[in-house]
Amino acid sequence: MAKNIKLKVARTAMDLSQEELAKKVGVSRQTIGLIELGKYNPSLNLCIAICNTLSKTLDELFWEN
Amino acid sequence: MSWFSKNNIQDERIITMQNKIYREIYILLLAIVIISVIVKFVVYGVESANVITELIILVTQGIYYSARSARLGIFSAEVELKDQSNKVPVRIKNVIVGLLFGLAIGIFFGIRSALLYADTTAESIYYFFLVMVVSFMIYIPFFIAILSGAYWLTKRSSDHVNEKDLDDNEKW
Repeated sequence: MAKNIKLKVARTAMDLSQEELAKKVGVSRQTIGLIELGKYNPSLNLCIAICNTLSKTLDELFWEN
Repeated sequence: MSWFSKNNIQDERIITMQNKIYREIYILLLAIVIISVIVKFVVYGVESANVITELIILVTQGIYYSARSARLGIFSAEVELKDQSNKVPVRIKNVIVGLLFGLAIGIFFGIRSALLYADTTAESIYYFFLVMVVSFMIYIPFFIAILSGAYWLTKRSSDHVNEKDLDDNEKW
């Protein structure tokens, strides 16, 4: 799985640390870190929670072209 | 107080990893129970009274898994997936396993009788075949009936749950 750069960019654009985003979506910091590294495949529910927090669509954050 | 509060972990990754660990623990415990049976048989001889606890553990976990998978409706899905990828359907496999179990037990009892009760070679051959054939007649139908019956009941129960779930889905 490739690294999720789009997620990292969207998170930093909102000035959120991994820990802050993790707290908002109710997971651990490690989980967010692993999603960004492409080492963990999140469920649709978690993807939606991340998208809602970062005000992005699923396509914008999780669709690989 | 926080020491005693329930640790309510929501992180799906942690839950997945914990489930993976629980699965490994289950396999480890099952291996320990089986090793315990083997060790007791070697040390104390083949006596079912010595391994009654282990047998209860082995049988109970099998029944519990079957009952739970039927209640959740995943048993039908498991059978469907296995049938998709294998040429031999699961219901036929159950008959084959029952047959092999019956054959193995029949041969075991035949050898045991020949070794324990026969005085001459001719007698041992006679006892071996006699006990083996009678054991086949008892245990092959018994194991086939038990395995196929349990399969049929579990599958029917699981199919029923699946149909109910799909009905609810269509109503929605």
